[in-house]
Amino acid sequence: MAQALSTPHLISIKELKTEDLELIFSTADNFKDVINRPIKKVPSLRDITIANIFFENSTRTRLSFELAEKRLSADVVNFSSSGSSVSKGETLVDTVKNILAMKVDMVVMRHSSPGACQFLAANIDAKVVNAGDGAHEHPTQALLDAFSIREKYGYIVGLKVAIIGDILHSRVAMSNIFCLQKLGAEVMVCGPTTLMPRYMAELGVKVEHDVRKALAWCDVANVLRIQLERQQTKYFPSLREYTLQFGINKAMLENLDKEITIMHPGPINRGVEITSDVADSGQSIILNQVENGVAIRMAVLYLLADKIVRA
Amino acid sequence: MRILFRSATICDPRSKHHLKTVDLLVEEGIILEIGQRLKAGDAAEISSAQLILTNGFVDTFASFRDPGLEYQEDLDSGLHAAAKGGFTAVCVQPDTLPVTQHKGGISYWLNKSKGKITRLLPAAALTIDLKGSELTEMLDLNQAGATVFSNANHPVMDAGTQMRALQYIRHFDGLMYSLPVDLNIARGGMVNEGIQSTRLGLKGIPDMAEELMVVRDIALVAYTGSRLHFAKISTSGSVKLIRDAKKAGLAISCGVAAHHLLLTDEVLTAFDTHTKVFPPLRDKADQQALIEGVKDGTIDVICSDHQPEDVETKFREFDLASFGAIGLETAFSAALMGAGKKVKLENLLLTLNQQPAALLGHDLPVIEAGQKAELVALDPTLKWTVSESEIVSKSKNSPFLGKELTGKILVTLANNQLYWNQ
Repeated sequence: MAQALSTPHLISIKELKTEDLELIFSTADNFKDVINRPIKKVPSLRDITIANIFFENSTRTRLSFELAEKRLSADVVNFSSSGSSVSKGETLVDTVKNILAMKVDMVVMRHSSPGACQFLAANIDAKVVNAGDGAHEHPTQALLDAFSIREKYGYIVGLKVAIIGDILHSRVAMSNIFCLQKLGAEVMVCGPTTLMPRYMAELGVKVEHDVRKALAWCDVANVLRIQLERQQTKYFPSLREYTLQFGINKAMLENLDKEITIMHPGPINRGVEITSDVADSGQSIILNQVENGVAIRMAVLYLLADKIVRA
Repeated sequence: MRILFRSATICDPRSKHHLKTVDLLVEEGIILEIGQRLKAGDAAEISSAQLILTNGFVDTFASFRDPGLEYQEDLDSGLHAAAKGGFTAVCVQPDTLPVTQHKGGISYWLNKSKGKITRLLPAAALTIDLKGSELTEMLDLNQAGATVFSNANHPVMDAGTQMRALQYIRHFDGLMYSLPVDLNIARGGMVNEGIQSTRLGLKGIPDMAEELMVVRDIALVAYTGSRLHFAKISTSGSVKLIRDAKKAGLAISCGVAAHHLLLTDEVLTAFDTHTKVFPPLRDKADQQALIEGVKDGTIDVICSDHQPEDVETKFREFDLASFGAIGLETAFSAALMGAGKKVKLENLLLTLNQQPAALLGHDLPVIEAGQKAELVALDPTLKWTVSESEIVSKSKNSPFLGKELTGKILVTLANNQLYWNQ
């Protein structure tokens, strides 16, 4: 197995090799042991400073990264701004210069613009981890999703995974597709026709618009949050209609002839895309995803820190 | 000033020297002599491995930022860039600040560009403030020297306004540009809608957004009987629609930006904002259809689509960056590299000089002894690298920065002035 990542940053799943994914998973296996010990901390990154820069609201991703950084003993600084859209552009360029000046070793960034992390990586010396850039990618989410599936089944090859919801605005869907395909799973995307990119099928995924058919087909259903804040246009008539037509409830799962696994990247709109009794059921691995998120992010940070030349 | 072009192949189908290799002597802006083994005397001598001498290039679509954002491009730097690119006339778009929509604006342009090597052909605004609702004083503007009426990069969404503009322009048999993009569909889009936009999470502009407007405008031309020029088309569907409309005898012409012949949306992977142009770079099939359109004459002109933008508008996140790339200095090379394999050089040159000149009513003198010299000398085999320090445009937003291009403009000669691109 590879000993180091093939990329200097973690910007997209697209650019990773399958060996990179395996290396991240095996490293995360070790860190999962660590975070379940009484002393949940290792000194690996004690000489590393990490800036978490969030230009978009985030609770769990930021918390998860911060926890991962602290478990690795890194020095952590946080910057978040949900600031006005007008000033966003200037802020990123200035952020670049500020980071250069502050001698930060790694940057974890979330930004509303696709390609923003690539822009950052091209202009600073620090290692960059993409925590979500517009509708482009959210690589650590895809990694923790695949890691959770692998944990539940012991394998990924041949599994059928349906990604259900707003595919058009979803970086989680895109990263998941690239990740699962590299690992040998079959992927289906399912959502309203207005929330489905036109060229989706050309990525080699099945495209479905009937959520019942998608549930009947899959082993794992990854249900996405309806991102109301990301929609400039009304893509469906009402939340009520969305829930009636695309929401997943307990009765739908009971009608299936097998028990499927339910995932959700959070935060859940309970009663919209998924009902509470599904989210909290034994079929759900939503909280495992959260726990694995910390282990995966520790693995990514650890492997990227390995590429920093230390004095 | 005496200049001798040594062993140059003439490309001008109107000249008896067309495709012949000759020496050509220019004195005081007039072609003095064309023949074999002319004596140089005190003349500056120009030669190259494969020297081509053709009529000056005429650009149908360039935006300068003068008046308004002169730090991005003013008339001097824009015309300088044009001369370097082989252009002896440039149709400058009215998207200035304020919009060029009164005769004062036209006079400013004409006065300030007087005496330059490259002539400025003014395009006045079609609608007030380019908003697409009220027509400008087109008759007055035409009398002041506006050659073309254009809404620049702002499509006229209201079909009624577009129709009345087409009707009104018949008073002086004027030419009107259309940039066919349906903004209700394209709004928020940044790149071609396709597998690339899907992979990169960038909002796409479907080719249908362009074709809808091409269909609309063809119907309007059929109804009004006026002339219309699609300033820059980008899709295979548009090529087909316009080909059919021309066959049906409608007074329609169209242009393509040189970069659309060379680049496709595959280059977007790097999120390089210099590749964010309007209309967007399309896919391989579109690119091939555009080249085919140049070859069969559906596409009349290749334009620079010169859009200067500075670091403040380009060195930023892809979705927040402005559209546009500079193109005057690289248009010939991009056209040659994109279409040169399929289209003979002498035909390709016509889309850069005689066809746009005819469209805009610009008189290009024939390459014959006794005629005014309005010439460009080039070598289609020479390679050169686009470097920021050598770009003469004030803005450096070229998608070809650092790239090696083939085909170099050596000398531009017009108005008894010479631009020697060493």
